[in-house]
Formats: sequence, C-alpha cells, structure tokens
Amino acid sequence: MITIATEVKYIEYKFEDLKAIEINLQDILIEELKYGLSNDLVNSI
Amino acid sequence: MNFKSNDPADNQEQNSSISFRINPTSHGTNPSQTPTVEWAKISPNKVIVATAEKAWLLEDTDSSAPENSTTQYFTQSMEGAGSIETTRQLLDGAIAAARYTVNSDVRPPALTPRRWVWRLAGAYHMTHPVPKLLKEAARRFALEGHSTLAEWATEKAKEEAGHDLLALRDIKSLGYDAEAVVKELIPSSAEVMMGYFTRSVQDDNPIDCVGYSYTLERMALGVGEEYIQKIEALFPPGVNATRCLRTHSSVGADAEHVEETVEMIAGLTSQERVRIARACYETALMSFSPAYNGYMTDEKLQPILDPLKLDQSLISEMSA
Repeated sequence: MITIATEVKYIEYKFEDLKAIEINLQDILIEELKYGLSNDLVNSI
Repeated sequence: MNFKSNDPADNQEQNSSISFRINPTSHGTNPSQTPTVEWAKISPNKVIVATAEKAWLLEDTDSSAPENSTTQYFTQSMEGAGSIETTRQLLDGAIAAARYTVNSDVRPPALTPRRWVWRLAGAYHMTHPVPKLLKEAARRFALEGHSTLAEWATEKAKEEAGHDLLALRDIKSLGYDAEAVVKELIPSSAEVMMGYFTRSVQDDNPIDCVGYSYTLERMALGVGEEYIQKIEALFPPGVNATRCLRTHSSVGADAEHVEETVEMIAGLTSQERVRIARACYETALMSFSPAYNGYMTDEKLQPILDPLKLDQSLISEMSA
C-alpha cells in the first residue's frame, strides 16, 4: 500500500483580531452545579 | 464564571499570536501528523476553535471579522480529520460557549424534598421516550448507509433502557404515587428538551441527536459524590431517591459513555463534527437557560403533591 502524504496547513491566529475567549467547561460545570442546572432538571439521557 | 478575555490588561498570553496546524484528511498515516486544530461555526456569529488542550470562543464573526484575517478563515467550513483530544475540546467548547451566551445569574430556588420530586418528574419525562427515539435514529442512520452512527444509536438505546424506572423508583421512595406524579408534573424545560431531541431524530439526517446525547452525558460528569450526598442529606435516613442521579453522574456509567461517544465522533467527517458541535451548543443553551415558565417553588408544589402521598405502610412494603 502506498500512502500519499497530505500537505499540512499552518494557520497563525492573532488574538487581537477579534474577541477570542478561552473557555473551560469544567469550571462552568463546577459553578453551575452548585445550584443545579439553570433549567431546573436533572441531566438525564 | 471563569472566562479569559482578550483584553491585554487581563491576559498577556492572548495578546500574542498562536499557530495552529490543520490535520491532513487522511487518517492515521503518521503519528507525527497529530491534528492540532478543529473549529466549528456554532451560530451565525460564534465560532469555537479547539486544540488538544484548550478551546476558544470567537465572537462577532459575522460582521466584524477583518478581511483575510484568521478569524474569517475559521468562519469557513472546517477541513481535516478529527482526533479524540481536539474533538473533545471542540465539543466541550461548544457546551461552555452556551453558558457564556446565556450569561444569566438567575438560579433555581433551594432544593427541598418536594422540589427534588419535581426534578425527578423532569428526569422521567426526559428518559421515558429516549430508547424508542434512539431506535428510530438508528433506523434512519442505517437507511442512509451510516453504519457507525446506526450502531452508536442502537447501543445507546440499550444503555438508556429502564432509566425512566429509576426516576419512578426514586419518587416512590419519597412516599409518592410515582405514576400519578409524572402524570401531574411535566416540567416545561423537559418538554422543550425532548421536543428538540424528537425533532433531531425525525430530521432527514438525525445527527443532531448525537450532540444532544453527548451534551447531557458530558454535563452529567460534573455531578460527583459530593453533590449526590448533598441531595441525599435532604431526605430522612434510609430513603434512596438518588438512583437516577447516580446513574447520570461521574460515579455512574456516563463517564464511559462520554469516552466512547467522543471517540466515535472524532472519526466522523468534518461536516458531521461541525453539526454535532452545533447541536451540543443548542442543547447546552436549553440546559443553562432559566426554567421557561419560572421555577416551581415548594409552596406551589405542596398542594399538588400532598394528595399524591402514599400510605406509609405501602412505602415500608416497597422499601423491604
């Protein structure tokens, strides 16, 4: 089998372009679950 | 809430630039070609960019992205393959972005045993139709020839079977006629959530149901033993009314389910991963939004629930 390497693209992102906000789900869940979900449900599926 | 802004005064690191690499579209040809970035447009003006370690929310991407900027690049369709690490960050980022969007400090009232019954009624309504709907999703995925997603939905339907009964047993443990309670109490938030899930399943391409399922299971991982014990402290000793919560927590099976699902999603096409990320965002928006008709208080619940109390001897019989 011959594997053909695909070109690897690089992107340089400048944070000053626009609002770029680092978000961390774990922090949010800790805060949110102090009171239970805002929609007042138990997470269920 | 811990969001880092791009204000230079707030964060020196984000005042600089960062390089991302797009993963080649061929999967697993070379370990050194680890994917470094995935992104998804989750709403008309919001994009999530994720590496293996972090996720960022780019806002106002609809109108104010400078021409030829990298932000504008990220508003275009994602390309490249996924990896477990970057896909996990992408989906986590989409869920977190919803909390940032809702940005509400409104909180539910303190829990009481009656309010816990209310939440359990919600849990019942959010679990009862799920296995049937997932089987329908599996059928539709199979018709489209998407065996990976069909297998996922079939397996998920098996995993979710009987969870509605856990909610009923918890309600009974608290001394109520559970069937009568779930007939009487239908939280509007649960109706809205299930409406979304049902529409997702009935869509020509039911892939949004993957994002819905993933979001709820991922968020359940925030529930640990400490939170469960806090709930249990509301009840008299010997009452077991947290079976449903335990199952949908980090001490239940959801941790394993999340890992399996993210692995499956990482192997999908970039367009499919974007669809799932958007569904995660939409599902999390509903979860982080205050109750649609306001919160049900203990005072409002008392006249509804008191007539549904079981005879004490029946409760003892059921506990035995």
